[in-house]
Amino acid sequence: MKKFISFNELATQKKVQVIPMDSSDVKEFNLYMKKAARESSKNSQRANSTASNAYLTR
Amino acid sequence: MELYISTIKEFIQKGEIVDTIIDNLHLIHDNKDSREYVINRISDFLNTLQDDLTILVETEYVDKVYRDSYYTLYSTKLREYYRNCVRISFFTPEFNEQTEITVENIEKIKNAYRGFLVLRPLAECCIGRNVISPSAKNKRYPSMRICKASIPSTCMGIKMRVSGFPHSSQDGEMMSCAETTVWSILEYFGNKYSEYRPVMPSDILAALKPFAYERQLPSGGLSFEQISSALKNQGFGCKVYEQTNPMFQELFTCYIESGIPLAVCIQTKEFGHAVVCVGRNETNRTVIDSAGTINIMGGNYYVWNNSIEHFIFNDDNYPSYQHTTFKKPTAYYNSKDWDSGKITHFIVPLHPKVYLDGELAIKASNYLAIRKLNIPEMSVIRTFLASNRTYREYIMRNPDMTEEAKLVYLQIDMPKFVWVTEISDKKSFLNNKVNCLILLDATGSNIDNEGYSSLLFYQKRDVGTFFNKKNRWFENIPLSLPSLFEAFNDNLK
Repeated sequence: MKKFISFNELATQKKVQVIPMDSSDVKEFNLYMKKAARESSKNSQRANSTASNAYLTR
Repeated sequence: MELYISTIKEFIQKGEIVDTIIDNLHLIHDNKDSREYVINRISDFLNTLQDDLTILVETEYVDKVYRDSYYTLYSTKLREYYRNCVRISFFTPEFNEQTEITVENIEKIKNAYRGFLVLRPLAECCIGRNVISPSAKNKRYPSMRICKASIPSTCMGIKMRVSGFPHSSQDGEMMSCAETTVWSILEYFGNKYSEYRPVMPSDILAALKPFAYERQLPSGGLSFEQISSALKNQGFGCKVYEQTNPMFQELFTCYIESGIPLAVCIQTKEFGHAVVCVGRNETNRTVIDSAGTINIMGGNYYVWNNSIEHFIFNDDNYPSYQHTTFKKPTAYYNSKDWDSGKITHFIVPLHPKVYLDGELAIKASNYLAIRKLNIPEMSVIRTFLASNRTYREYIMRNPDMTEEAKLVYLQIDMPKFVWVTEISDKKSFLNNKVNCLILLDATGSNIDNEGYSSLLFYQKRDVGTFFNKKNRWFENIPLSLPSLFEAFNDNLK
């Protein structure tokens, strides 16, 4: 059996420096996505409420 | 059943084949004007195809879709409607009157096949189920990139396949534009993926029965909400967008770039209409120049999904693959009644496990591109959804990735669908190359207030950022990944 080398194993084999991703913006990103989700919900509500009025016949 | 072989040219020039087809349709009324009307309808359809195509006409054809409508509606009428249809199959001129129907010629005939058209015995709405290869359309049609399914059919005992998007005209009583839109989307998905199944017109009526407050037959049309319900009933996780959404056109393009056909609601001043957007015109990447840049989080960037204006629509009042613009979706009607038509809503028939929709995926990837990858201004951003299978195949076949890099990419954990954002400097973009990449988990969501829960991977130059399951956080690993590689173009064919 042969196991294909994973990216972690490759990093070890190549002796490259693995650095944890900077987490200082976690709060900022969460707030940004929370705001985006709120806007998306509002857009969805508008789309759903108007979709029942759009009657398609032709 | 009888078989006739002719050409489109012969039909257009009112040759013998015209009367053969009309006689075998067995319309409920036979008079000069009714015949002329049907001939014109068929001519309008055939006039969109290359005129040197060979046509093979099959009488007494049992079409599953018309037969379903027949037993649900037409057989219950006093006037005797005919049960059978006429089917026309299209071939390139390599198959013609002189071609012998022998075992040796089977492959030649298969290769020449370009699709079929079922003619229903309904004068007003004779254009029934059809699937046409875009390559059969004539020069008035642009090169196009569309969602294609391989649809099986048989002709002269030979099993054929045609690659295209299913289309039909409405029959006015059983199916209006709205039901036809639902039918064609389900016919496409049902033939392409094992999770879905094609449906018959009576299945659509049954699915909508709980939502109907009025009789369903004859059809008086559907509300856009009902179209979404019918699609949801068949297993889709539908998402509806409306014109006041600031990202309306960007999202429309993003889903088309993702290879997802859209149910589109068009409103004129007087009435509403439903069509299916199946793709876009073949577009040169230089189109980003005419669209210009957009301000995102304080910087100016080119956005591919804001650059596309020309799309391909399947409209049940016209032959397949009508090309027009997003702003003038009914321009091909050339009619005052339709001139005011504009797109007010569209429904995306998403896979039920795609929780992260386009709106949030674009916003999340924009944040990551600008804040994390610090991409330079005037970069080109292109976001789309891809299936895990198609994306991995693209990696496997990518000519700019080393075997080592391919193994790295292929071992990233991915759900069934991923949101992909390709970022390129302008020169690389025009050369169909990518510099930076972001992969988002389509099963991710922001509801848990964890923005990073959707991130799978990103790459800036040769450094990849991977999720380490053991540490439950991301790691930047300089693995000498390719910093310039071929872009993904496999969603539309």
